[in-house]
Amino acid sequence: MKAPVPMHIPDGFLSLAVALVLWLVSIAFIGLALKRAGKELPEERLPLVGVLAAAIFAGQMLNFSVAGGTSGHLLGSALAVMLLGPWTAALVMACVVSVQALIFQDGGVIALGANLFNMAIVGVAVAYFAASLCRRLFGKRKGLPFVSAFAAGWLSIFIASLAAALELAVSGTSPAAIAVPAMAGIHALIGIGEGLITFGAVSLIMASFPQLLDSEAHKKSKASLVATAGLVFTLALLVLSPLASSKPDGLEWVAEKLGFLQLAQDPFFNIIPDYVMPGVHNEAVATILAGVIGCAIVIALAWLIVKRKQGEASKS
Amino acid sequence: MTPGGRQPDVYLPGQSLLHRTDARVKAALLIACLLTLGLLPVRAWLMYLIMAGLTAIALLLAELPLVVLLRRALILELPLLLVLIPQIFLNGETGTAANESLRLLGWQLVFSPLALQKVLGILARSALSIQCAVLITATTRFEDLLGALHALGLPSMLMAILALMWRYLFVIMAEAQRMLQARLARSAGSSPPGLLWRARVTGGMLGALLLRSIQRSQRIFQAMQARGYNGRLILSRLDPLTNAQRLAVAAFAAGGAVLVLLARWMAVG
Repeated sequence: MKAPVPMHIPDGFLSLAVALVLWLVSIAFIGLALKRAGKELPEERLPLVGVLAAAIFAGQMLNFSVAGGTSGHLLGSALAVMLLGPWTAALVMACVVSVQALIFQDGGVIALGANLFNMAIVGVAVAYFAASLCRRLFGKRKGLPFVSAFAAGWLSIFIASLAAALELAVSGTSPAAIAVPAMAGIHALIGIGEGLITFGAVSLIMASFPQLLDSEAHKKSKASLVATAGLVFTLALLVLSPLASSKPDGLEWVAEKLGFLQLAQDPFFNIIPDYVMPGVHNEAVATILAGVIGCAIVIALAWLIVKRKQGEASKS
Repeated sequence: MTPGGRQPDVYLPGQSLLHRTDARVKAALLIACLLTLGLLPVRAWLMYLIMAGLTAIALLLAELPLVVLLRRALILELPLLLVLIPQIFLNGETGTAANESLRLLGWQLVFSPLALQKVLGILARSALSIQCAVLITATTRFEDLLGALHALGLPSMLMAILALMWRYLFVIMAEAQRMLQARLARSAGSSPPGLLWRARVTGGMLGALLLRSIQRSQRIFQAMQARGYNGRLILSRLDPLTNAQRLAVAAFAAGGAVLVLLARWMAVG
């Protein structure tokens, strides 16, 4: 789906302060990933990493029509995590996002720090967190890789889009009350496409070359730090973004204090989309509830897929 | 044509001044431009005009077909319009003093001039940023750009990954293109069997693409070993910058700083 709200933030949409802070954060995380992956990465894996980065980039060309001329395609964080483990996946995604920005201008150069943060760091950490959560929940059952694939794909897109929305809001480009619901709504759908493609790719790899997925699962590669980071990103963004969009004054205050806003925006924050659920009067609570319900639906879907897979397995 | 792949047409070969300039200087120029644009206040229209003029001069210096460069940037800018335009009208219902209304063919359009100015500012900024980036990538080879990034502190391992990725990007993109064509030939592109089915087929294609790429990477590794690869990449050394080049970099930075300060001063005064 071509989002009318960009996941790849272009230059000019972020205030310089936000962009620079996220550059620093991204450099720190990618430096850490380089160190960790450098230890794990035997020299013969270097071509593998480079070629897989190219393959994920090229894989984003593979699309399928959804409806009315829109089409779904892939971002790839979750798939990279499932194939390579979190540290190397972060490097692969960093290369993919950088080439998109530097060569194809898909996302800005100054904004690259933010885009790296959203897709290579938050996306990868959240995908890894979702995958390890699935491992906890479903143990060693047969359908595990499929559930993980879908859940990691969906959650990584959804949470990364929340991060992008908050960055735009803090920059004063788009008020949180508009940016957050718009980004979250569209990417909740796009995430389903991501989840399904990741699911399809993992099923094919499971069928033809299962060692590839197993080796990563067994190794676990001392990446509990990544899973924790993923959990923190998920929780922080799930709680922060509805708070920001229902109480824009707080965010506006932050933006003003940091000197981000160059224009008075008095009439900007008057629309608050109707998010109030029946019986819940606090909008923040209502939005968080909506998020929780969304997650519950995804977990339920994942559960159903497992059941079906198990059913198929027992039949055959 | 590179063997097995489409020649990347991002870089447009030429002999102009901009093509011949050292990639490090061009990278500095791009960063200076983008930072200046990012720091300019939203309503500094005069400064945006000056930046547009400078960009236009640079576009002419590249001695490339203008239409191609402008079209490339335009394609990237159009989706941004879709994001920005609604913002002008979003708060229309509030009817505060800041809102203006406009009668158009019997429709009552209510918009906020402040929001309009902000949107125009962001649009000018992002359009100029995109145009500058398009110009630099059209006149700089990726290999040279990588060298410049390495000089700026990009770690060698990331550089090696990026170089390998770039070498095989268009080979694998061609492969993906062939797969799409094969799917089209079997008419699964938009046929009824359901969204889920289509998504899974696409996922299967992706899985196949990844497996083929993994096998390709094993062959690449063997070829590298056969040529004496021992885990270290040999990077070509760049000459140190000449004084003239240093001066150019300093001039870009100073020019940007002057524009920003001038704009701030005018906004205050």
